[in-house]
Amino acid sequence: MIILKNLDKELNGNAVLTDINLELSKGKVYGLQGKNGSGKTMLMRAVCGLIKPTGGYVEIDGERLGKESAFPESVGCLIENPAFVPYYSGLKNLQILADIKGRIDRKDICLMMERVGLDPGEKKPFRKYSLGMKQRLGIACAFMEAPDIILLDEPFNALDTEGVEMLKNLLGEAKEKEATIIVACHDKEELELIADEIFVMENGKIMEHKS
Amino acid sequence: MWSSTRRGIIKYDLCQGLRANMWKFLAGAVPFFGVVMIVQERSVLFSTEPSFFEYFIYLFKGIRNYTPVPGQQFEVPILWMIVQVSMALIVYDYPVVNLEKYGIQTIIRAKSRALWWFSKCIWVAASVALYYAVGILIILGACMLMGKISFIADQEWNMVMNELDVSLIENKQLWLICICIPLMSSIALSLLQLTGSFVLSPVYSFLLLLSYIVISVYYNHSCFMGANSMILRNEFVMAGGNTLSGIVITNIIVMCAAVFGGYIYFRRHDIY
Repeated sequence: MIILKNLDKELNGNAVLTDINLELSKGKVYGLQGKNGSGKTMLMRAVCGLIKPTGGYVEIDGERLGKESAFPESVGCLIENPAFVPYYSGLKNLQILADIKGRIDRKDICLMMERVGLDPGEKKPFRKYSLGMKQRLGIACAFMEAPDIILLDEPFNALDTEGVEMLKNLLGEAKEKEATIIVACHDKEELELIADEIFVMENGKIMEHKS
Repeated sequence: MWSSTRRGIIKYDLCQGLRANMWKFLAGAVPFFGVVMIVQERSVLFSTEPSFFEYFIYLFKGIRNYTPVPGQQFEVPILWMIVQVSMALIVYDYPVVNLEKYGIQTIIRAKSRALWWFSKCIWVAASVALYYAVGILIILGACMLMGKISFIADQEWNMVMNELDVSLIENKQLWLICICIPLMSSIALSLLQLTGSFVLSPVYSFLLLLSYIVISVYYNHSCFMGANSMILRNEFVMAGGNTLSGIVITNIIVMCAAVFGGYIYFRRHDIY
């Protein structure tokens, strides 16, 4: 369970998150909807532990971020544009990240790459990938270690019809495995198809909650 | 002994971080090639080939304590300064840029700001050590090409080229002032630069560090440790010069302040 309680965040004197109160359960997909600058990405960064709240707190499975732990125990994310080492191949990039925790091996990474429609044997460096390929690699990175929390910021960007179907399948599988999934998307229709609940954000606040 | 996460993040920084800056190491090797060319060119003046130490003494000799005298200009030793600039460029912005881009993926997997920060400190120390290793290899290569690898400093060479009487310096002291002290001082300054790159920005940290180094050349004071690597200011060379113990203690204090002070700041640093 992820709990955001009275969460505030100010950056350079501007309130980017204001009084956010959410309880997010396992096995559900939560959508964040709003225009650019509404606070969706900042909220995701707060859940990841990347930004420190000015007020309130984020609690994950009973542990408060910034107190009991700095970051969630198990999280995969695609926040803003997928960023990897530009001169390494997709497989190499995922391998060096997977080596940090050491929970999955090369075979698991190759399987995930194939799932997202990428060729693990592709030697092309990341900087030569198309936008769609970069997005698929970012998705693979977020899902590859089967994390308990998955945060996806505009995951449908640059994906073709096949890619969208692939992502929906991955989301469905992760949901069955009881992951808590948060998807930020400006496309209302797409979000309504995949999300169990949707929070509409504006100026850093939750304005509406749709189930 | 260490968890796989700790090993993983440190390995990531050592491999990826060093690879990302490879071109800077190659560019930074210029002063070493420069000193090789200068020493080789002047070797015709002497009856013996230069030893390993002649190259390093020429590069790190610096200048004696500067005393402003009317009509005398203040000059920063060029080759020595290029070495300092090269190391500052190697550190420059890799940690900050890394964090803002793909570093997010590494830090959430490391699950620890402390681990990420200390891994970057290890990367800084390793980068500086590698830079010196590259320099040592270049100098050794030059000695091999000249047909003589010697670790006994030549008296005549140093009196003429470096204004230095090496007969007063023991061999182990030469190792200290030519390699160990410059290396330790460079690591201390680079760690300071790393901290500054997060507290201020990479550009300001770079410029402030270079300014501090130039001021250290001008004022020989214990507060200004930027010129600690200068051989001509060392107690083994100059009466009343910078003491070995003083340099080591200062470097350790600066390293600890940079590493732990930087961590205290980084703990609260917003990553966005």
